[in-house]
Parts: sequence; structure tokens; C-alpha cells
Amino acid sequence: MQWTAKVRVQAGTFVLDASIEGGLAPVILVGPNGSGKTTLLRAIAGAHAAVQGRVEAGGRVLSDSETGVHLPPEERRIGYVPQGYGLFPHLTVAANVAFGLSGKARRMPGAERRQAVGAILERMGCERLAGRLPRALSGGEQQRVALARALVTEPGMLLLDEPLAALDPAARRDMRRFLARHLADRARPAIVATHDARDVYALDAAAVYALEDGCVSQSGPPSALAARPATSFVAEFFALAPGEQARPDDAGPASVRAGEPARSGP
Amino acid sequence: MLALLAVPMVALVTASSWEELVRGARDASFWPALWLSARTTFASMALVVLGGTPLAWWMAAREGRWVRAVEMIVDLPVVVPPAVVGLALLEAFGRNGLFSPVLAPLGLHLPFTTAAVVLAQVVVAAPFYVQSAAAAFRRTDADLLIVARTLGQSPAGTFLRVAAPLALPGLLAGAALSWARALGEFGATLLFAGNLAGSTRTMPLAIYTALEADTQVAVSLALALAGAGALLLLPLRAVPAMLARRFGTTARRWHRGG
Amino acid sequence: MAAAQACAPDSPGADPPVRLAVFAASSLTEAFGDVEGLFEAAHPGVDAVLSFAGSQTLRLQIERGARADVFASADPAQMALLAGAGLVDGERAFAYNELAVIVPPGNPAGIESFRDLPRAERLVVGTERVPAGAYARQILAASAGLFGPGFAKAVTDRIVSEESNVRLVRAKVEMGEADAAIVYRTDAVGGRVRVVPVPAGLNVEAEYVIAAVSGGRRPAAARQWIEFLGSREAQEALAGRGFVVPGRRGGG
Repeated sequence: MQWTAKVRVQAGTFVLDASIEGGLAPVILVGPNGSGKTTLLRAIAGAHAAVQGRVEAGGRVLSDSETGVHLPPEERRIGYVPQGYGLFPHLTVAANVAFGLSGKARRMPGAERRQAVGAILERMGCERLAGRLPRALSGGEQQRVALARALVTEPGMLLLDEPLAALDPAARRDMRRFLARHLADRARPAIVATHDARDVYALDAAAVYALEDGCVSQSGPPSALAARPATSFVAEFFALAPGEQARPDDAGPASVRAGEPARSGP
Repeated sequence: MLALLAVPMVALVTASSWEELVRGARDASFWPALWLSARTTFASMALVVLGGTPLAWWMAAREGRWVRAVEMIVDLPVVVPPAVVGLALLEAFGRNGLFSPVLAPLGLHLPFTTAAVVLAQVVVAAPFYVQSAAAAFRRTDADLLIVARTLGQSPAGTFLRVAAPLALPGLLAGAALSWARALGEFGATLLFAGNLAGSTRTMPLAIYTALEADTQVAVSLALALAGAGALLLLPLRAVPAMLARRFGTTARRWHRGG
Repeated sequence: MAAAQACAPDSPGADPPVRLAVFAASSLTEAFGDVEGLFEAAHPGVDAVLSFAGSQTLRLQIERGARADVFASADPAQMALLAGAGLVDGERAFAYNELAVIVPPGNPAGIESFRDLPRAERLVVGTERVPAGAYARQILAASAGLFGPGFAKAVTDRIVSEESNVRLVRAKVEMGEADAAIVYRTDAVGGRVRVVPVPAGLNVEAEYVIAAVSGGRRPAAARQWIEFLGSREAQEALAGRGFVVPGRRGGG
């Protein structure tokens, strides 16, 4: 299962022009604020109508400006968890999770839907939250619910925008472990935008793309970027994770155990 | 400022007594005018919400020259004196108006009809709703709409199940303001719809007409209208505040990022 | 006479000009506009400031302490109310008006005489609470003798609007929205309308009265204005706007 996204979006004076690709192993997007990470994820999700380029996943063309193909978001089978999680504040946790099973795309009979919602909430460890409104949840709980809501529709691809940024350190550690465990099954490709180098190793990323000013400034396996950063941003990004500097240069991503770095930290 | 807003109303109340208020309510012109005002403002609000909501949604989703031009057109009836709005409506829909070649063969004569009252109310009141609704839609977290789409909702479904419920406090507040404006509409109605008891004489026209004969009846009618208005405004104000409390802060929680 | 008033506080000869506040019924708008120019030419020290509204509204304003010096009413009843309260004195009639039917220049309903009034699809009159509206109803009530008992109802059935101001009534005809309206004869002069006369036997004589407002700040100038209305040039100005003035009244 391979995917490629070659995207050019212009929003005012800002231009994003990036080409990224990957397979089932998670791909990490890094970059300073305003470098275009969110714009790239939204473009892949189909939120921008005026997008140039081509997005393809598992042999399915999602958009291609050459041939004029542009699938609307509801037909892309992409799970998108934005920054701040994007839970619908007026719906309970259960209704949030059931939301994707009641739309036109994947309508499910009531009983079946309740069962699916219950099952995924249990898997995410938040079945006791079902009746609550999002504002009554902690950041970590919201993130789990948002993930449950995205996964219950069994998307072909998962896009996570800064999934850990808004959490306090303890919750972030838990959540990182939790994400690593859920992405470890490699059921679907995942693109994760992050600020934190520890996520790169914890999520066992196959590749890292550094976005700066709307362009890919460097890409490759995490170890390659850490060893030979091409820009000061990339250098600083990997320097922020002191525990990872000691790791031998040849340690491939596959050898990094999910969740280990966070636990072995000081 | 508050004093300036409150003092004339207080003076109106103190200038009258309970008996006079009752007398106003018993005046022959009171119930027909109130009933007409209720009917016409209900109809005009339905039209304002049905037509104004899609327009507000369109305005909120876009930016640029066209949207600014549309916003100006929407605001125009607020700036222009209502009497001029009435005149403009006559120039458009009157017997010698712009659309008379279309309307006359269909047997449609708008001036002097209750429909003209509704039309005048729609034109003067719609800006308040449209601007408030557009502001409410602009405040909606764009990510929520994208998420709803990725979860399989069509644009219409996204609007009905996410955008509209989240903007509801703003929509209701706008509707309240707009309704109040429609209820008080006077100048455009007087010119475009005329002034006939039972068919075009709404409360404000009844008050004005009474003023020509008996000030006390006019004051009593005005008090009764203000009372009826306050009764209807109260829930319209309270519900948005209640909804806003219920949704809490989550809708606003998102940070622009890279 | 000018010498006799030279020492009065509002002496017309004094500088700056005395401001005389004249409150007048809206049907006097054009006529008093003409009179103002003539008056100020004859009395250079006085600046007449005219304020027009419905007689009822003006009466109300004077009751609530508006600073008027002269009040000219289209409705003697309003003047009587003020006189009863001691707020005016020396009231007298200075002009008469009557009613007329007006139709748009194209006369879409084909109304050639008063008898044709039921042909109007849309008729506009004043409310019964304004003098012009009350007079119109008086005429219709009296019309049975001439046109039969059903006539008044046939006409009132055509009323689509009852305006609280006679100028609004005329505007509806001018804009072509109404097929006919009943207004003062003076409102028909100078408007973009055609006049259909009301039969002489039916018509009313609407009396215009004027008085000085008690406690006005310019009593001398007020007196001058009222007296000036009796002058030949003022009478001609009023007649030119369609009013019947006392000197020209048949037999009066």
C-alpha cells in the first residue's frame, strides 16, 4: 500500500509546494509554525478546492489537477484529527464517534452503530466517557475520542495534526505510548505532524519530511536527518531530544521499539 | 448612555397609568394591529431566516472583493432611511416600477397588501440577521467542518449537523434583533404598503395614527407594544446565552499551526 | 406704526433679526412658503421660521411647551383645544379650503367625475382622525342624495389605505400606486396629478384658523404675521395655491 501526495496550494501570499510519499509505516511532518504542515494535511484530506498536483493512495487517485479529478473529503476515506482534536462540542462522546457512521458515506443501522461505537471506545479505553460532552474531558481523553471517531470509519489513511502538542508532559507521555501502540499494527498509512523529535522515534516513523516556508527542506529516514541535518531547523529539531543523540547513526527506524524512548528517558 | 436609553421608556411608563394601559389594550385598533404585526413579522422572519442563512453561510466561507461588495449591499437598508427604502420598494415593485412588466400580467399588485408589509419588513430587518449569522459562521472552527466532511458528511449534512447547531446562539441572537427591527418597522411600510386597519396597519402605524387623534391612546398602545416586544425578546435573548454556556469553550480551541 | 413699536423688545428694526416661529398645518406648506418671502420683504427685521406638521401634532407640541409664536391650524377643533387651555388667543379664520378628487396624470381607472369614484381599484384617503379624512367621510355620507344609497359603500370598499397625513395621500397618487384619492383642493395645485371636482352641493368648507401663542416670545412679530395674512398680497398668494380667501368667498 503506497501513497503519494504532490501538492501545490496558494493561500494569499503563502505558497505550499510539497511532494511527499510513503507506505504503511508512519511518516512524520516537522516544521516551524506556519511552514505549511496543516495546509498539507488539509489538502490531502480534500479541504482545499483549489489544489494543484496529484494525491494517490493505494492505487486510488484522490485528486489530480491534470485530469481534473477532485474527490470531495467525504469520498476520500481519510481519517483526519486536527489540532485541538476537532470534537463536535454540541455532541456527546458517543454521538461524536457515531457521527461517521450516520453520514451518507457509511450509514449503519442503529443497533450495529451502537455496537461499533461501544467497541471502539472500549478499545481506546474510554467507554466510561460515552455520555459526556467534549468540554468535560481532559486533553488526553479528547485525543483518544477523536482517534476513536476517526478509526471507527476504518479510513484508508490517517492524518494526525500535532496530536500531542496541547497535552501536559505526563499526558503526552501516555498518549505517545498509546499512539505508538495503535499505529504499530500498520493497518493503514499515517501522516503525523509534530513538534517533538521524541515522536519520530516513538512512532517508529519510516521517513521524516521537514517543511520550511511551504517547501520540503529535507527528507529521509529519521537517522539520516538526525546525523546530517541540512538546515538549522532540522538540526535544532533533533537536538531537542537529547536522549536520541546518543543513538548510533546506523540504528534504522525499524530497530526503534515503539514507545521505548519515552520510557527510557531520564 | 444607559440612562439615555432607559429614561425615555421610563418617562413613557410614568406618563401613563395602569388604567390607561388597559384602555390602550381595549382600544379598537389594538388587537387587529397586534395580530397583524404578529402575523407579518412571523412571515418576514421565516423569509429572513430561510433566505438569509444561505447568504450568511456564503459570506462567511469566502473573502475578497465580491464578499465585501455583497456585505455593502446587505448593509445598505440599515444606512438608508426607512422611508427611502419604502420609496425604493415602490420604484421596484410599484405599479410603475421596475418589475411591473413582470408582475402586472401575473395579476400581482404588491402595494397596499399585507404581502407588501412583509416585504418591507424583510428588507429592513434582514441585514441584522445576515450580519449576525455570518459573524457566527465565521467564528466556527474550520477544522470541525473539515472533520465532518472526512467523516462522510456531504456539504449540506455538514451544514445541518455541525455548522448550524454551533452557530445557533449567533443565529438566534441575530433573529431576535432582526425580529425587533421588523416589529418596529414604520417608514417603509407607510410608503410601500399604506395604512389600512386589518391589512397593513401594524402596531407602529396604529400608534402613529392614534397620535393624530388621541395622544393617550397612542401612549397606551406604545406601552402595550413595548410590553409585547419585551415578552418576546426575553426568550430570544435567553436561549442563545444558554446554548453558549452548554457548548462551552471547546469550539474556540484551535491554534493556527504549521 | 413702525415708530410705535421701535421700543418693543422684539423691535423689527433691531439687529439681529427677530426669529418668529410659525407652526402651520402641512397643507399650508407651499402657501406659507410664498407668504414668508412677502412678509420678510415687508418686515426686514423679522426672520420667520416655518414648521409644518399635522395640526394635531402641532397642537400636541404646543401643549408640551414648544416655543411657537404663531399657530395656523387646518382643524378648528385643535385650535379650540388650545384656546380652552388658554394657550392661544385672538384666533381667527384666514382662509378656506375644500376637497377634491385627484387621479394620476394617466387616469388609469378612467375617473372623469365624482360619480366614477367606485371605478377606482385603489382609493386612498386620510384616516378619519385627520381633518381631510374626516371631511372625505362627511362628503361620502352626504352623497346618498345625489348618487344613491349604495354609493358611499361602493367607494369605501375601494379604500386600500388610510394615511395619517394628507401629503402622503397625494404621494400615493403621484407615484401612480393609487387610482384616486380625496385631498384638499390646495393639494391638487402644483402636484403631478389631475383634479376631478367634488360637486358643489357636496363639498365642505374647511376653515383654517390662526392665533398667536400665549407666552410666545415675539408677540409683536406674531401680531404682524397674523395681520399680514389679511393683506392683499398675502391673500393673492393663498389664492394662488388654491385657497379660498375671505374677500373672494362667494357672498362672504
